Amino acid sequence: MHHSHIDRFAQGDSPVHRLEARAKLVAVLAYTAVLISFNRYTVAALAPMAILPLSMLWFGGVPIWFALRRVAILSPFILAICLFSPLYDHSAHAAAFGPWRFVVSGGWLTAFDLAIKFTFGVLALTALMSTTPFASLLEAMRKLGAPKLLVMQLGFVYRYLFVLIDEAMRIRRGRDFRGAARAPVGRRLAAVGNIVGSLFVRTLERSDRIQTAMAARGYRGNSRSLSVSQFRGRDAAFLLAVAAYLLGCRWLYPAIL
Amino acid sequence: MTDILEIANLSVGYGDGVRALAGVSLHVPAGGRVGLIGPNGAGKTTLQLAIMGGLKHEGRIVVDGIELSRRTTAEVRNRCGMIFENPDDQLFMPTLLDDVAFGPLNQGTEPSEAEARSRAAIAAVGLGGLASRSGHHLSAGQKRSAALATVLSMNVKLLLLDEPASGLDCRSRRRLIELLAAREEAMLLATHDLDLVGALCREVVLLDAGQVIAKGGVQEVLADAALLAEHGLR
Repeated sequence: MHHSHIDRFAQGDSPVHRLEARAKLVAVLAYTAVLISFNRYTVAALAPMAILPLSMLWFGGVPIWFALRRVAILSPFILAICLFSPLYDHSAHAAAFGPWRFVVSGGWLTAFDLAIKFTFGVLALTALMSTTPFASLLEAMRKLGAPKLLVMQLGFVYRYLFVLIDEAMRIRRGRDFRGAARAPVGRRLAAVGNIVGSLFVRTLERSDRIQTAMAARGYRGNSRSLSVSQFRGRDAAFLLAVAAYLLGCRWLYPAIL
Repeated sequence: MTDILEIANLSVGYGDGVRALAGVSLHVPAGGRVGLIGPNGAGKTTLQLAIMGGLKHEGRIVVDGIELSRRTTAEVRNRCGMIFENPDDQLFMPTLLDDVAFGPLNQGTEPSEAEARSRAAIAAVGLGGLASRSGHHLSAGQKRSAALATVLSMNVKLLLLDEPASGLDCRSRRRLIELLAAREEAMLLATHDLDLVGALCREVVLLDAGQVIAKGGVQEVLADAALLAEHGLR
């Protein structure tokens, strides 16, 4: 497993890639805030919210199948909530689909609302991550005033998540090559516990070595970094366009509807 | 020739009562390369960590005329850089450029100067063009070179190298040797790879069970097959 699973396509070159990370980050945060502000029973009003993430993906040269796969990978988390919501909300609501008018339960509307918001949200995040290198995102967060410690932690997660996964895979291989598949369930479960414990201890030891490496290069609690990006006119124009689009989606379109 | 590193009667103990180093004395001349050889657990890494001020110690460590103490740790770390056995422990920033600039920025260097130094260090180790790569996307050989760049950018006078060639294929190993041989900084090279020591160093110190067993010219020490066998190096 490699980093390409997080920010694949991020090193590309497109109009969206060339936008400054702060502009894209603020746009996606604002988009998410507007997205979740919609009433859960006004599902149809969400339709124009698809435009921003799809446009970012399209102009960023990110294949839609890649983004939809992300949605599919993460969907089990939301699917359970969607499936259970009709059981809890039995309120009746009038709904329209073209010329057809019908009554639908609030639970089903909530389920659709959640699924659509989740899909759009993941598409927007995927568009952001796929058009912005992770290092630029961290720099944008730092410049926007996110706590330094948080930014640093995220940097470490990005850097070491896959090192850890690789380590877990190696340990698992070591277990499997010694006939773990033939072991009774109890012993296999115990082995999993040992793997997790071993990973935990190794992570602690690694963190100790990283701390030593940081201290050896003069780190004393204050992280500084090179600042390479600049906020330009096109970034401001992009943000203004997104603001106008979000205002239209949130207030103009529902009023027309 | 003046010494860049002087160690006198150094002892380091761990909390569990293990005596990792006991009365170690050695010196590295300015611009000189000294091999620190010994079997696993001899205390080679512990010695280097102690020089960097990472472990409590007894005895005297002097780097470039500055005696190591809690007060002078930062000054000592501005003068010597350590390259860890596992480069993954050393490359923790999101990009190679950020990683290499980490040290200079912590030294208080202006960002523009830090960037220039970092790019020069990256080019010096042959990784020009990979500055925006993440450490995870580098090969094992490239990670070694990148780890070297992280300390070269700090303009240190002494390099502490901990098993720098472990896990490298022949080509990467040869490249690393060429790279290190071309440097002017003094080096204390901890390894049990005797060929590497023979290729790079003039002097060698044999450490075992936390004690200096032998020291002298490379030819002389490495020619003593019985001594090397006795201490698990042959």
